[in-house]
Amino acid sequence: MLPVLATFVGIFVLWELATIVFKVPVYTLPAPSDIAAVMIEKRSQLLEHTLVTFTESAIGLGLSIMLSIPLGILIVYSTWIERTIYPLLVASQAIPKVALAPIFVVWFGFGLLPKVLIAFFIAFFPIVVNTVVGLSRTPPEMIHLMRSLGASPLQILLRIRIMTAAPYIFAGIKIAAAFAVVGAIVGEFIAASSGLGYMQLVANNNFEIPLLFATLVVLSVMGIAFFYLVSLVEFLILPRPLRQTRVNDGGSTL
Amino acid sequence: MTCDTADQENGVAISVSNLKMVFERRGNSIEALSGIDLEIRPGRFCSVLGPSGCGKSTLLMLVAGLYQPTSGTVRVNGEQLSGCYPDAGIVFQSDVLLPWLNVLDNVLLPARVKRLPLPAATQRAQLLLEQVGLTGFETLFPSELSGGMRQRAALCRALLHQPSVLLMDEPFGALDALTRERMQLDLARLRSSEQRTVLFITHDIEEAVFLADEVVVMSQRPATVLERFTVDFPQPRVSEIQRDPQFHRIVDDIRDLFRKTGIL
Repeated sequence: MLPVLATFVGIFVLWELATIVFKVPVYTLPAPSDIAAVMIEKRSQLLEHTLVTFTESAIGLGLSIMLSIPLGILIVYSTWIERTIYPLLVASQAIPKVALAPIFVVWFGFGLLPKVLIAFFIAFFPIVVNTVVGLSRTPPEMIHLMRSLGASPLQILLRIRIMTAAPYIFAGIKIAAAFAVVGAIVGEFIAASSGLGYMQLVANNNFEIPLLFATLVVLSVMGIAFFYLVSLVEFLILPRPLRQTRVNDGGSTL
Repeated sequence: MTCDTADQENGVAISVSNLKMVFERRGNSIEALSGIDLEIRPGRFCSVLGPSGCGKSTLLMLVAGLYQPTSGTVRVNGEQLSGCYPDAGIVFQSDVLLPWLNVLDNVLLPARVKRLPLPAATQRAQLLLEQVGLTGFETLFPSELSGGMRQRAALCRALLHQPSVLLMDEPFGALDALTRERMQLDLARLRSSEQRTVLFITHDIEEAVFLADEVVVMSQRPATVLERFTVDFPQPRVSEIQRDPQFHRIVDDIRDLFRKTGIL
């Protein structure tokens, strides 16, 4: 833990010194102390907008988890869905999400809904893909064993395949958690009157560069919080042999 | 499943007749079994011995009902199989323990799948684990056990639901020589206290003769039955019989047969 802390402190100290030594103007790159100052000064405003973005991305992530896992199961069990819906999903991922945001605003207005939907739209894909990959990784011997015991297909799904897929699904959710925050921000860039994305736009227009950086810091903290929250849930519900020994390799299966 | 009482009256537990299996793999037809006939009486231990790749594992999968034969029939206790035979226990080449369950829960898997009463099943599981020396390891995960311990747990799992037939597919093939001998003795002891019909697949001549009441020797692929040997030692087998001249005579006869047919 100590070397990790030392590294972070070292980076901030170097950054602080660099802005002093090279006389970097605050509108180009504010020093960590400038960012910290503005974070303290505008803490209530930051908290308010953080809550908006957090709500949007949390609902978007929750929706994507609830829909992606059943969809992944359907893709694995139905050749028809695998050949029709799955290619469509893959194709949908080639669309830049930013391009969809204005359409979502036209369809769903300026409120919470379009941001939630964009967050959902970005977040669900990694979970679907990882669910499909995980379910397909079940060793055939395990299925033979279950069939020889007279297990039904549902028993095989619930007792075996979901379990072998679980580490993959959690890896997918970790990626999705970070994506959901990006989705909410993209939605706020297009049309919003609150949220960290909106705050960034305003700060940018007013040339309040330290505030812009402050929102970036808050966003990173939110991303980390989501990631470790998912890791915590994984730790709590998965039996020990299925847990990933290191929590920071979430993207290893994508 | 159709029921044939004639088999039961004749006292045949496993009956395989004119069994053929052809696999289609990337446009090629591979004939694995070419007309196998086999009869095992209840409570008998039958080893199927053959060179690797001869299709003996395929035979086991067919008897288990996990594969559908190209032609021919498999009857277990008089029932002609059209799916998996529910009253069988299987031990595979690898232990196939579920890594997320501890040893006891792995052994209890058949009870959970078949929804048997858990208290009685737990008692039996503990008894079985005790008989193979795994008492005290119930709460460990498979990854924390040695290969031999894992395969012993797999054997307990196969026996939990008191199956009338036990199907074993080279269960000790991946173990070191010492562990294998120990497991052979364990199996001899466990089975003979419960009198189950066993179909045991192996490529090890000594192992086949040591354990079995009858040894069925198979040819190279496409497999047919070359010859049957009867081994008249009392069960449960003890290691002393490996010093008996009669034991060596049978082993040598089988080796000669393999030489004659170009397998050795």
